[in-house]
Amino acid sequence: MGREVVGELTGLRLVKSFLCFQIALFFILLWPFTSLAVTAIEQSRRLQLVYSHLLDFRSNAAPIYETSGTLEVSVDLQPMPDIDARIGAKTEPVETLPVSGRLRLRGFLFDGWMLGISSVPGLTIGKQKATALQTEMGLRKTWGSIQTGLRVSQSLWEILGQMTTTRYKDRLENRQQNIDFSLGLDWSFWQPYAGIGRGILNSDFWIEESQITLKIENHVYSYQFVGLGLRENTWSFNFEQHRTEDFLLHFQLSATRKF
Amino acid sequence: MFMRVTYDLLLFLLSASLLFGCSKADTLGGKAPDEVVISGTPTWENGIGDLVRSKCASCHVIPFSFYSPHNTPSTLNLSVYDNSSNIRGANILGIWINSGILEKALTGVARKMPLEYATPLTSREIESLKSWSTSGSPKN
Repeated sequence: MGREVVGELTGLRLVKSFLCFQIALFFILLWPFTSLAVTAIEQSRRLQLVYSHLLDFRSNAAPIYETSGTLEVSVDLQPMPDIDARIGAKTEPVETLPVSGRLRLRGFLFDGWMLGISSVPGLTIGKQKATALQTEMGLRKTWGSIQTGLRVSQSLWEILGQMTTTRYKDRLENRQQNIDFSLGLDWSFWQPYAGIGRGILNSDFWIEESQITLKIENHVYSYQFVGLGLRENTWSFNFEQHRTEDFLLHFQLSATRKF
Repeated sequence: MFMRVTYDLLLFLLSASLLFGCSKADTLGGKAPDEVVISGTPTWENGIGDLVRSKCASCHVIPFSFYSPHNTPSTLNLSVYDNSSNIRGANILGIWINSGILEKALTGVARKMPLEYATPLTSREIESLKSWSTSGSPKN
Protein backbone atom coordinates (compact mmCIF):
# COMPACT_ATOMS: atom_id res chain seq x y z
CA MET A 1 0.00 0.00 0.00
CA GLY A 2 2.74 2.42 1.08
CA ARG A 3 4.71 1.51 -2.01
CA GLU A 4 1.68 2.31 -4.19
CA VAL A 5 1.23 5.76 -2.58
CA VAL A 6 4.90 6.58 -3.08
CA GLY A 7 4.60 5.41 -6.66
CA GLU A 8 1.55 7.61 -7.27
CA LEU A 9 3.22 10.65 -5.73
CA THR A 10 6.35 10.12 -7.74
CA GLY A 11 4.28 9.64 -10.88
CA LEU A 12 2.34 12.85 -10.17
CA ARG A 13 5.54 14.81 -9.67
CA LEU A 14 6.89 13.34 -12.85
CA VAL A 15 3.80 14.36 -14.83
CA LYS A 16 3.74 17.86 -13.29
CA SER A 17 7.38 18.57 -13.92
CA PHE A 18 7.23 17.22 -17.46
CA LEU A 19 4.13 19.32 -18.20
CA CYS A 20 5.79 22.45 -16.84
CA PHE A 21 8.92 21.68 -18.81
CA GLN A 22 7.01 21.01 -22.01
CA ILE A 23 5.00 24.24 -21.77
CA ALA A 24 8.19 26.29 -21.34
CA LEU A 25 9.86 24.45 -24.21
CA PHE A 26 6.81 24.93 -26.41
CA PHE A 27 6.99 28.71 -26.05
CA ILE A 28 10.69 28.75 -26.72
CA LEU A 29 10.41 26.61 -29.85
CA LEU A 30 7.29 28.37 -31.09
CA TRP A 31 9.26 31.51 -31.86
CA PRO A 32 9.86 31.02 -35.57
CA PHE A 33 13.23 31.12 -37.24
CA THR A 34 13.75 34.05 -39.53
CA SER A 35 14.57 33.60 -43.17
CA LEU A 36 17.05 35.95 -44.81
CA ALA A 37 18.27 36.53 -48.29
CA VAL A 38 22.00 36.18 -48.17
CA THR A 39 25.39 37.31 -49.30
CA ALA A 40 28.67 35.51 -48.65
CA ILE A 41 29.43 38.05 -45.91
CA GLU A 42 26.13 37.28 -44.16
CA GLN A 43 26.77 33.55 -44.52
CA SER A 44 30.25 33.75 -43.01
CA ARG A 45 29.05 35.97 -40.17
CA ARG A 46 26.20 33.61 -39.32
CA LEU A 47 28.55 30.63 -39.36
CA GLN A 48 30.98 32.42 -37.06
CA LEU A 49 28.12 33.29 -34.69
CA VAL A 50 26.86 29.70 -34.60
CA TYR A 51 30.29 28.31 -33.72
CA SER A 52 30.81 31.06 -31.15
CA HIS A 53 27.48 30.48 -29.41
CA LEU A 54 28.22 26.78 -29.19
CA LEU A 55 31.33 27.73 -27.17
CA ASP A 56 29.38 29.71 -24.57
CA PHE A 57 29.71 28.78 -20.89
CA ARG A 58 26.06 28.12 -20.06
CA SER A 59 24.80 27.12 -16.63
CA ASN A 60 23.86 23.51 -17.39
CA ALA A 61 22.52 23.07 -13.86
CA ALA A 62 19.33 23.72 -11.93
CA PRO A 63 19.73 26.74 -9.62
CA ILE A 64 19.64 24.67 -6.46
CA TYR A 65 20.88 26.32 -3.28
CA GLU A 66 23.87 24.48 -1.86
CA THR A 67 25.39 24.80 1.56
CA SER A 68 28.71 26.50 2.12
CA GLY A 69 31.70 24.32 1.34
CA THR A 70 29.97 22.12 -1.22
CA LEU A 71 32.11 21.23 -4.21
CA GLU A 72 30.76 19.89 -7.52
CA VAL A 73 32.60 18.19 -10.35
CA SER A 74 30.66 17.91 -13.61
CA VAL A 75 31.09 16.42 -17.02
CA ASP A 76 29.13 18.40 -19.64
CA LEU A 77 28.24 16.90 -22.98
CA GLN A 78 26.89 18.87 -25.91
CA PRO A 79 25.62 17.09 -29.04
CA MET A 80 26.52 19.27 -32.01
CA PRO A 81 23.78 20.29 -34.43
CA ASP A 82 24.10 19.67 -38.15
CA ILE A 83 25.84 22.69 -39.63
CA ASP A 84 25.61 23.70 -43.27
CA ALA A 85 28.99 25.41 -43.62
CA ARG A 86 28.61 26.56 -47.23
CA ILE A 87 29.88 30.04 -48.08
CA GLY A 88 28.92 31.11 -51.59
CA ALA A 89 29.38 27.98 -53.66
CA LYS A 90 32.14 26.59 -51.44
CA THR A 91 31.53 24.04 -48.73
CA GLU A 92 33.94 24.70 -45.91
CA PRO A 93 35.58 21.44 -44.81
CA VAL A 94 34.93 22.02 -41.14
CA GLU A 95 34.91 18.71 -39.33
CA THR A 96 33.13 19.06 -36.02
CA LEU A 97 32.87 16.29 -33.48
CA PRO A 98 29.35 14.88 -33.02
CA VAL A 99 29.61 15.66 -29.31
CA SER A 100 31.75 18.18 -27.47
CA GLY A 101 32.51 17.95 -23.78
CA ARG A 102 34.03 19.76 -20.87
CA LEU A 103 35.04 19.14 -17.27
CA ARG A 104 33.79 21.71 -14.84
CA LEU A 105 34.34 22.54 -11.17
CA ARG A 106 31.95 24.48 -8.95
CA GLY A 107 32.42 25.60 -5.39
CA PHE A 108 29.74 27.04 -3.12
CA LEU A 109 30.69 29.74 -0.66
CA PHE A 110 28.53 31.50 1.93
CA ASP A 111 24.90 32.59 1.47
CA GLY A 112 24.47 30.92 -1.93
CA TRP A 113 27.46 32.44 -3.66
CA MET A 114 29.03 30.17 -6.23
CA LEU A 115 32.27 30.11 -8.25
CA GLY A 116 32.95 27.84 -11.21
CA ILE A 117 35.74 27.15 -13.66
CA SER A 118 36.40 25.03 -16.71
CA SER A 119 39.61 24.86 -18.67
CA VAL A 120 40.80 23.23 -21.88
CA PRO A 121 44.62 23.31 -21.84
CA GLY A 122 45.59 23.09 -25.50
CA LEU A 123 43.70 19.94 -26.37
CA THR A 124 44.19 18.67 -29.94
CA ILE A 125 41.24 16.82 -31.42
CA GLY A 126 41.38 15.84 -35.06
CA LYS A 127 42.82 18.75 -37.05
CA GLN A 128 42.12 21.40 -34.43
CA LYS A 129 43.74 22.51 -31.21
CA ALA A 130 41.56 24.18 -28.60
CA THR A 131 42.57 26.26 -25.62
CA ALA A 132 39.96 27.70 -23.29
CA LEU A 133 39.41 29.23 -19.91
CA GLN A 134 35.85 29.65 -18.70
CA THR A 135 34.81 31.07 -15.36
CA GLU A 136 31.51 31.81 -13.69
CA MET A 137 30.21 33.45 -10.56
CA GLY A 138 26.66 33.19 -9.29
CA LEU A 139 24.22 33.71 -6.48
CA ARG A 140 21.51 31.20 -5.68
CA LYS A 141 18.57 31.83 -3.37
CA THR A 142 15.77 29.58 -2.20
CA TRP A 143 12.21 30.27 -1.00
CA GLY A 144 10.67 26.96 -0.07
CA SER A 145 10.62 24.88 -3.19
CA ILE A 146 11.31 27.89 -5.43
CA GLN A 147 14.91 28.30 -6.48
CA THR A 148 16.52 31.24 -8.25
CA GLY A 149 19.95 31.77 -9.68
CA LEU A 150 21.79 34.77 -11.08
CA ARG A 151 25.02 34.02 -12.88
CA VAL A 152 27.73 35.83 -14.80
CA SER A 153 30.30 33.97 -16.86
CA GLN A 154 33.22 34.61 -19.13
CA SER A 155 34.76 32.47 -21.86
CA LEU A 156 38.09 32.84 -23.58
CA TRP A 157 38.65 30.50 -26.51
CA GLU A 158 41.31 29.94 -29.11
CA ILE A 159 40.89 27.28 -31.75
CA LEU A 160 43.72 26.75 -34.20
CA GLY A 161 43.58 24.40 -37.15
CA GLN A 162 41.90 23.46 -40.39
CA MET A 163 38.56 25.20 -40.53
CA THR A 164 38.02 26.70 -43.98
CA THR A 165 40.46 24.62 -45.99
CA THR A 166 42.64 21.57 -45.52
CA ARG A 167 45.77 23.38 -46.77
CA TYR A 168 46.01 26.16 -44.21
CA LYS A 169 45.52 26.71 -40.51
CA ASP A 170 42.90 29.19 -39.41
CA ARG A 171 42.48 30.69 -35.98
CA LEU A 172 39.29 31.53 -34.10
CA GLU A 173 39.62 33.70 -31.01
CA ASN A 174 36.54 34.35 -28.92
CA ARG A 175 35.81 36.44 -25.88
CA GLN A 176 32.32 36.02 -24.48
CA GLN A 177 30.60 37.39 -21.40
CA ASN A 178 27.19 36.21 -20.29
CA ILE A 179 24.67 37.00 -17.62
CA ASP A 180 21.63 34.85 -17.00
CA PHE A 181 18.83 34.40 -14.55
CA SER A 182 17.05 31.14 -13.85
CA LEU A 183 14.00 30.15 -11.87
CA GLY A 184 13.34 26.60 -10.79
CA LEU A 185 11.36 24.32 -8.58
CA ASP A 186 12.70 21.65 -6.29
CA TRP A 187 10.26 18.75 -6.42
CA SER A 188 11.73 15.80 -4.66
CA PHE A 189 14.46 14.55 -6.96
CA TRP A 190 13.22 16.46 -10.03
CA GLN A 191 14.17 20.10 -10.61
CA PRO A 192 12.56 21.76 -13.63
CA TYR A 193 13.82 25.27 -14.34
CA ALA A 194 13.90 27.94 -17.01
CA GLY A 195 15.90 31.06 -17.63
CA ILE A 196 16.90 33.92 -19.84
CA GLY A 197 20.30 35.34 -20.61
CA ARG A 198 22.22 37.98 -22.47
CA GLY A 199 25.69 37.73 -23.91
CA ILE A 200 28.27 39.91 -25.56
CA LEU A 201 30.63 38.43 -28.10
CA ASN A 202 33.93 39.54 -29.57
CA SER A 203 35.31 37.15 -32.14
CA ASP A 204 38.27 37.24 -34.53
CA PHE A 205 38.37 34.60 -37.23
CA TRP A 206 41.70 34.66 -39.06
CA ILE A 207 41.55 32.90 -42.43
CA GLU A 208 45.09 32.14 -43.50
CA GLU A 209 44.38 31.41 -47.16
CA SER A 210 42.80 34.83 -47.77
CA GLN A 211 44.78 36.54 -45.02
CA ILE A 212 41.71 38.30 -43.74
CA THR A 213 40.21 38.55 -40.29
CA LEU A 214 36.46 38.30 -39.97
CA LYS A 215 35.60 40.34 -36.92
CA ILE A 216 32.53 40.33 -34.75
CA GLU A 217 32.74 43.19 -32.31
CA ASN A 218 30.55 43.72 -29.25
CA HIS A 219 27.73 41.60 -30.62
CA VAL A 220 24.97 41.53 -28.02
CA TYR A 221 22.61 38.58 -28.13
CA SER A 222 19.98 36.89 -26.01
CA TYR A 223 19.18 33.31 -25.20
CA GLN A 224 16.57 31.35 -23.36
CA PHE A 225 16.78 27.96 -21.78
CA VAL A 226 14.74 25.33 -20.00
CA GLY A 227 16.21 22.50 -18.03
CA LEU A 228 15.44 19.50 -15.97
CA GLY A 229 17.62 18.21 -13.17
CA LEU A 230 17.56 14.94 -11.34
CA ARG A 231 19.19 14.55 -7.94
CA GLU A 232 20.01 11.30 -6.26
CA ASN A 233 22.09 11.71 -3.12
CA THR A 234 25.51 12.97 -4.20
CA TRP A 235 24.81 12.50 -7.90
CA SER A 236 22.82 14.76 -10.17
CA PHE A 237 22.05 14.66 -13.86
CA ASN A 238 20.90 17.55 -15.94
CA PHE A 239 19.35 18.31 -19.30
CA GLU A 240 19.30 21.87 -20.61
CA GLN A 241 17.77 23.05 -23.88
CA HIS A 242 18.96 26.36 -25.27
CA ARG A 243 17.60 28.75 -27.83
CA THR A 244 20.14 31.36 -28.91
CA GLU A 245 19.16 34.39 -30.99
CA ASP A 246 16.71 33.18 -33.62
CA PHE A 247 18.86 30.63 -35.36
CA LEU A 248 20.38 28.14 -32.93
CA LEU A 249 18.84 25.39 -30.85
CA HIS A 250 21.12 23.12 -28.90
CA PHE A 251 21.08 21.12 -25.72
CA GLN A 252 23.53 19.97 -23.12
CA LEU A 253 23.64 17.07 -20.72
CA SER A 254 25.69 16.83 -17.59
CA ALA A 255 26.54 14.43 -14.82
CA THR A 256 27.64 15.92 -11.51
CA ARG A 257 29.15 14.47 -8.37
CA LYS A 258 28.84 16.50 -5.19
CA PHE A 259 31.48 16.45 -2.45
CA MET B 1 21.38 1.67 -4.79
CA PHE B 2 23.60 1.43 -7.85
CA MET B 3 20.71 -0.03 -9.85
CA ARG B 4 18.40 2.78 -8.73
CA VAL B 5 20.86 5.46 -9.80
CA THR B 6 21.44 3.71 -13.10
CA TYR B 7 17.72 3.42 -13.68
CA ASP B 8 17.15 7.11 -12.91
CA LEU B 9 20.02 8.11 -15.13
CA LEU B 10 18.77 6.08 -18.06
CA LEU B 11 15.19 7.29 -17.57
CA PHE B 12 16.33 10.88 -17.37
CA LEU B 13 18.73 10.86 -20.29
CA LEU B 14 16.36 8.98 -22.54
CA SER B 15 13.26 10.99 -21.69
CA ALA B 16 15.00 14.36 -21.83
CA SER B 17 16.99 13.72 -24.98
CA LEU B 18 14.38 11.85 -26.96
CA LEU B 19 11.31 13.83 -25.92
CA PHE B 20 12.70 17.33 -25.64
CA GLY B 21 16.20 17.62 -27.01
CA CYS B 22 16.32 19.81 -30.08
CA SER B 23 19.48 20.64 -31.96
CA LYS B 24 19.37 22.84 -35.02
CA ALA B 25 21.66 25.51 -36.44
CA ASP B 26 20.14 27.71 -39.08
CA THR B 27 23.27 28.79 -40.92
CA LEU B 28 22.65 30.55 -44.20
CA GLY B 29 24.53 27.98 -46.26
CA GLY B 30 21.48 26.44 -47.86
CA LYS B 31 19.69 29.67 -48.68
CA ALA B 32 19.55 31.19 -52.14
CA PRO B 33 21.38 34.49 -52.54
CA ASP B 34 19.68 37.82 -53.03
CA GLU B 35 18.82 38.35 -56.68
CA VAL B 36 18.95 41.72 -58.40
CA VAL B 37 16.20 41.64 -61.01
CA ILE B 38 16.53 44.21 -63.78
CA SER B 39 13.54 45.26 -65.86
CA GLY B 40 14.16 47.04 -69.13
CA THR B 41 17.55 47.57 -70.71
CA PRO B 42 20.37 46.89 -68.27
CA THR B 43 22.66 49.88 -67.75
CA TRP B 44 24.90 50.89 -64.84
CA GLU B 45 22.19 53.26 -63.67
CA ASN B 46 19.43 50.75 -64.33
CA GLY B 47 20.26 47.76 -62.16
CA ILE B 48 23.82 46.81 -63.11
CA GLY B 49 25.24 49.24 -60.56
CA ASP B 50 23.14 47.69 -57.79
CA LEU B 51 24.10 44.20 -58.96
CA VAL B 52 27.85 44.88 -59.14
CA ARG B 53 27.91 46.76 -55.85
CA SER B 54 26.03 43.89 -54.18
CA LYS B 55 27.92 40.93 -55.66
CA CYS B 56 31.39 42.27 -56.60
CA ALA B 57 32.20 45.38 -54.62
CA SER B 58 32.13 43.63 -51.24
CA CYS B 59 35.77 42.78 -52.12
CA HIS B 60 36.62 45.02 -55.10
CA VAL B 61 36.38 48.35 -53.36
CA ILE B 62 38.85 51.10 -52.45
CA PRO B 63 39.79 51.13 -49.62
CA PHE B 64 39.58 47.35 -49.18
CA SER B 65 36.75 45.95 -47.10
CA PHE B 66 37.37 43.51 -44.26
CA TYR B 67 36.28 40.77 -46.66
CA SER B 68 38.79 41.54 -49.47
CA PRO B 69 41.31 38.67 -49.83
CA HIS B 70 45.02 39.55 -49.76
CA ASN B 71 45.48 39.30 -53.53
CA THR B 72 42.60 41.60 -54.47
CA PRO B 73 43.77 44.16 -57.08
CA SER B 74 44.50 47.46 -55.41
CA THR B 75 43.58 49.63 -58.42
CA LEU B 76 40.04 48.42 -59.03
CA ASN B 77 36.95 49.95 -57.47
CA LEU B 78 33.70 48.33 -58.60
CA SER B 79 31.54 50.46 -56.36
CA VAL B 80 31.74 53.26 -58.94
CA TYR B 81 31.44 53.30 -62.71
CA ASP B 82 34.01 55.88 -63.74
CA ASN B 83 37.77 55.79 -63.48
CA SER B 84 39.47 58.22 -61.13
CA SER B 85 43.18 59.02 -61.36
CA ASN B 86 44.84 55.57 -61.30
CA ILE B 87 41.81 53.67 -59.99
CA ARG B 88 39.75 51.76 -62.54
CA GLY B 89 35.99 51.79 -62.22
CA ALA B 90 33.32 49.29 -63.23
CA ASN B 91 33.31 50.47 -66.84
CA ILE B 92 36.16 48.01 -67.45
CA LEU B 93 33.96 45.05 -66.51
CA GLY B 94 32.38 44.81 -69.95
CA ILE B 95 35.68 43.83 -71.58
CA TRP B 96 36.32 41.12 -69.01
CA ILE B 97 32.77 39.76 -69.18
CA ASN B 98 32.98 39.60 -72.98
CA SER B 99 36.27 37.72 -72.55
CA GLY B 100 34.48 35.11 -70.42
CA ILE B 101 35.56 35.91 -66.86
CA LEU B 102 32.21 34.63 -65.60
CA GLU B 103 33.00 31.18 -67.05
CA LYS B 104 36.78 30.80 -66.79
CA ALA B 105 39.99 32.38 -65.53
CA LEU B 106 41.52 34.94 -67.86
CA THR B 107 45.15 33.93 -68.21
CA GLY B 108 47.43 36.50 -66.65
CA VAL B 109 44.52 38.79 -65.79
CA ALA B 110 42.14 37.36 -63.25
CA ARG B 111 40.59 34.26 -61.77
CA LYS B 112 37.07 33.17 -62.68
CA MET B 113 34.63 35.49 -60.95
CA PRO B 114 32.87 35.43 -58.62
CA LEU B 115 35.24 33.29 -56.55
CA GLU B 116 33.94 30.07 -55.12
CA TYR B 117 33.36 31.52 -51.65
CA ALA B 118 31.84 34.80 -52.87
CA THR B 119 28.14 35.45 -53.31
CA PRO B 120 27.11 33.51 -56.45
CA LEU B 121 25.37 35.13 -59.40
CA THR B 122 22.02 33.78 -60.47
CA SER B 123 21.47 32.81 -64.11
CA ARG B 124 19.31 35.90 -64.65
CA GLU B 125 22.02 38.13 -63.22
CA ILE B 126 24.61 36.55 -65.51
CA GLU B 127 22.33 37.16 -68.50
CA SER B 128 21.89 40.80 -67.46
CA LEU B 129 25.66 41.30 -67.12
CA LYS B 130 26.30 39.72 -70.53
CA SER B 131 23.57 41.77 -72.14
CA TRP B 132 25.06 44.94 -70.62
CA SER B 133 28.56 44.02 -71.76
CA THR B 134 27.62 43.21 -75.36
CA SER B 135 25.84 46.54 -75.61
CA GLY B 136 29.07 48.36 -74.64
CA SER B 137 28.55 48.46 -70.85
CA PRO B 138 26.69 51.80 -70.88
CA LYS B 139 26.33 54.01 -67.85
CA ASN B 140 22.85 55.30 -68.69
